[in-house]
Formats: sequence, C-alpha cells, structure tokens
Amino acid sequence: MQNQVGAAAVSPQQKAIQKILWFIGMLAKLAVIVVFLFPFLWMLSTSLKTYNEAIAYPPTLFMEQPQWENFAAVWNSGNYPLYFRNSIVVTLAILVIQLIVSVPCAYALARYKFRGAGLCFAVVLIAFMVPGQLTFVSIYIMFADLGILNTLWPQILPFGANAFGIFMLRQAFKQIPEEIVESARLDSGSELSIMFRILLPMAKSSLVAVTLFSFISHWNDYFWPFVMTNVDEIRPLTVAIAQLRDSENGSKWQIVMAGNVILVMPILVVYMFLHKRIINGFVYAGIK
Amino acid sequence: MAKIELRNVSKRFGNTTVVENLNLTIEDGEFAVLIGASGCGKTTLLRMIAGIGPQSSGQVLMDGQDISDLPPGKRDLAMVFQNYAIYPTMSVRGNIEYGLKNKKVPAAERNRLIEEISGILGITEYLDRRPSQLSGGQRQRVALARAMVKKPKVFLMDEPLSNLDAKLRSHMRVELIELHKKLKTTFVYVTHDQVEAMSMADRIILMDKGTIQQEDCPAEIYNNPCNRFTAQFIGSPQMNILEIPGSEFSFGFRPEKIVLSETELPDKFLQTKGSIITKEMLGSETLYQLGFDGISIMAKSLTDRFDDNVYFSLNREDILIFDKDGKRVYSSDSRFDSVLEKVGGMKK
Repeated sequence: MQNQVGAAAVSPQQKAIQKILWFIGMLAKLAVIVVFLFPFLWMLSTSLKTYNEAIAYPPTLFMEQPQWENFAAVWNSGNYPLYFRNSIVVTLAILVIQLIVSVPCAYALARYKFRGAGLCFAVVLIAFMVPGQLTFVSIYIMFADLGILNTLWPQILPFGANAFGIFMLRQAFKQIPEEIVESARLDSGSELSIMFRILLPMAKSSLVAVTLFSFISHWNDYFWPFVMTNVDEIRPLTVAIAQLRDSENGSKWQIVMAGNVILVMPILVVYMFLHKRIINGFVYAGIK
Repeated sequence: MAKIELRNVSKRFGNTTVVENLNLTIEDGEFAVLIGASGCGKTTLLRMIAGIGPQSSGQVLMDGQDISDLPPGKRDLAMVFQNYAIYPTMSVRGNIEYGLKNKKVPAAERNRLIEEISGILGITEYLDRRPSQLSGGQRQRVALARAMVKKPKVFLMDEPLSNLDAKLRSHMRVELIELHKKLKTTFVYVTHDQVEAMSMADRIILMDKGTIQQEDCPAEIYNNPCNRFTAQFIGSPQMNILEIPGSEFSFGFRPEKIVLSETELPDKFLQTKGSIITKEMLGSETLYQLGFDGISIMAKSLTDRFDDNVYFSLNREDILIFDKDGKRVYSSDSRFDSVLEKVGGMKK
C-alpha cells in the first residue's frame, strides 16, 4: 500500500532509481536468455558449418555457406529411419501406458478415502525421488530373466507409472469441487466415465504439462536405453546420435550437431503448439 | 413421484455424531423444506437420501423399498446443488445429456427430452454455449434442466437459490413453486432462509443439532410453535420471549401482535408503558425496539407515527407459554391458566 502511495507522487530522484532498477532487471533477463539460448544457437550454427569451420580456432558463430548436406550425411550414416521409429514407438508407448496408469491412480488418491491412502501417496513421492541409476542393474537382470532384453519393452515398461504425473494430476483432481463428482454419480456416471469424461477434461492443462514433460524426458533419455540395449535394431535416436561421435572419433562436430538438431526438432514442434497450456498447468497447480 | 422414509438414521463423522436415530417421512408429491442453522444436519439428511453421503446406520426407503445400499445413480432422484455443479467442460446440451447417455437413452429420445425441458426453462438458445458464458440465473436453470430431464421420482435441492441476487431469488422461488405444481413430484428442499421455507413449503421440517424440532405446515409452525427454539427461529424479527418472575415458565408473543397506542387502552390483557429505543421504517411496516424496566422487546406496526413514549398492550390469545425446558405449554394443559394469570398480574 505504501509503495502505491509513493508511486503516486515520486520525486525525480526516485524515478531515476526506478529506471536504473528496470535497466538492471532487463540486463539480468537478457543474460539468462543468452545463457540458455547460446548452446542451442551454437548447435544450430555448427550443424550448418563445414568440417574446417567447425574445428576452426578461434571459433566463429556464423558459417559462410549453410551446409544442408550435413543432415543428409547423418540420415545416411546408419539406419536412422529405424532409430527414429524406435524413439517414436518407445516414447508414445510410455505416454499411453502412463495415461492409463496415472489417471486412475491420481483419481483414487485424490477422491477416495481409504486406509493407507497417505502411505500410498508417500510411496509415489518416494518413487519420484529415486534416480534410475540406482535401480537399473536389478531391472536389467529382471528383464534378462524374462528374456525380453532384445525388445523395446525394457525401454518402455519401467516408465509405465509416472510419479510426477500422478502427483500433478492428483493435485489437479483435488481442486475440482466434490459436488461435480457427486453430481456425475447422481447422473449414473460410472467411475471410468467420471474420470475420463468429467475430471480429466477439467485437468487438461495439468495433463498436457505432464505429457509434454514426460515426452521430453523420454525422447531425450540417453542413459536408460544405452544400458538396456545390446543390439542396433532396438536403439533409439539418442543412442544412435551419441554413436556418431564415437564412430567418427569425435572429430566431425558438424555431423554430431546435425544429428542433435534432428533429435530436438520434434520437441520444438510439440512445444510450439502446447506452450500456453503447459504454463497454465503450472500456474493453476501453483496458485490454489 | 415417491414417498421417502428415513428410519432410525444416524450419521457419524469420526467421533462426531451429526444425526442420531432420526425418523422422517416425506409424503408423495410433497414440497418438504428442511430448515435450520448451518451445521444442524439438514444437508446431511439430504445427502443420505441422495446416497452421496450414506447414513452410518438406519434405513432410507423410497415407496416402501429399502434403497440404503443402492448407488446414487440408481435411486431415481435428481439433485440441484448450491454451486450448481455444472460440468464446465461440456456445453449446456452436454450437461443435460450426460445423465441420459449414461442411462443409454436413445439419441432421438434424448433430443426430444432436451428440447422439451429447455423449452420449459427457457434455455433453448443457450444449448450450445459453455457454462462459463452463462449468468448465475442461467446456470441455475441448466442445473434444474439437468435434474428435470431425468424425470426423477424425487427432486433434492440443496440451497439452490442462495447464490442468486435478491431479485432473481424471489423470481426463481415463484418458478420453483410453479414447477412443483406442474410436475407434482416430491421435492425435498434444504435452506437456511426462512422466507424460502415459509413461501414454498407444504411442510417445514425445522432441525437443530441433528434432531427435528417441529414438522408442520408453514402457518402452524409460525402460529403454533411447539417449543422455544421453533418460536424464535421462525419469524423476523424473532418472537419476544420474557421470563415470568417467580416461576420457571416464560411467555412469548410475536412482534406484530403488540398493539401500540398513545393512551392507555381499556380491556387489554397486558399493558405497560415504555419508550421507543430504535425505529426502523421498512416501507409497508415499521419495526420498533421498545424498552421498559431494563427489558427490550421488538414490535412491528403498520404505522410509523410513534416517536417517544407509548403504551403497548397484548391480547390474551396472543400469548404463548413455555416451560423451563423450552417446551410449549398449551391451553389444554392444567398449568396453563395459572401461568397465564401470573403473566396478567405482571403489569397493568
């Protein structure tokens, strides 16, 4: 309140201070943008350079002539359509299974009072905190015992339950007034119908945010597919692109970067369409 | 249409008992209003009937059939919530249709029903709109349409008008009365607003702390309250109740029963002189707060001409007697006459 009163009658000195603060703020924001944007721009520009430009010292940001053929070189260096397909199949399968598992789980945790509900939710949160590096050995042995190591399943099944997704959707479901659910029950709605036709559309922003985060993290995942795959036929794009560097002795950076551009393109496209919803999802979850 | 019976129902939340061994019958086609202060258990009863907050013990019967274990969707009743509980991601049509779809009503029949009900409620032009594009009154109608389209045997309404502004509320009140006349269905209506209860009910069920204080038609409940609680809950301003000195009884009288005059009136049963402490002109009537002997009472009069000292008097038949437990002592009671004599002897 005092600030508002002060703002109504500011002295020239205060005005100057305000301007300086605004300027410092803008500089700080610009610095953050540069820090985040520079690696991306570097990747993009390197992917269009010649070999000599890529290893030139001192390095330059811009190339003389964009070398579009670098992308063709990546695509033809291995069975890329297959890697691409593997990435898509694995990521989509994870997303579908997560939806089938997370929505009912979040619904139950948000809407049912049962003995051990708190404990169940705590277990979900703990699962959220355990890194894959701790569990991969035992999971690897389990899949080996099942004899499905050389299939896509080891890359899909361990991610069927998404703790973060369950957490976010539970919060979103909890914010929906109880009367809506009761009204749907009086309207003879089955639990499935209440979940998918009434509550899920109301939690759309959270769902989109969860799906996109999951998509990004599994599309970009390197560690897990790397340790779970022994043969080329089931490798995803990330592992294949990492191999570009190894197979070429780490020297052809323009090719590696072109591979990375191919890798991040789908994420950029998805983000472009959904970014508003993602922000909504977080704002909604944060405010209430 | 259906008759609802609650038999020995109790409701406990953890260690708190909200309702205990309550019995209530709501007749077929009746407009029953459950009224009471917040926390008295009226909504709890409604939720028991609906099946969305089932009783901890006891039975709920509909037309003699025990429906205690039936899920809400199979009870053949519809409910209108205070906040309407409209599905915000569906259009108005989608909202009305949802229950019918779940009951597997064929599409042609669904459309016919939606047309019919939206015509009655005047929402046909909004059918394709989203709830967020509607005003409070329109949402209220959508909630009503959603309930009506199922043609239920019983309508349950939980303070459905309390989110509307005063003008719209009185308008919707009339519409609900008309609707009840037209549909001839059993209505169970929960409110804390006594104007709603008095104007709409065939029967008022007044509750306090999980028990029924009195159930009767509005006129009886107003004129013949069976205890102090009812006498003071219904009526605005509330009934004046004064202790009778030297006895364990008290007596009460409605503010409008007080006769105000500048001069002493002959042949009044009880008469005294006092001063006017406050005066509220409400248009057609005026409320006076009167003071005498350190006591203050409320009086309602059609005239606002009194300003300072007045005589106020009461007729014998306008005085109600209550015993020390707050129970009414009726004129048939042997104690009645002697207590009334004491009242009469208080001040002339």
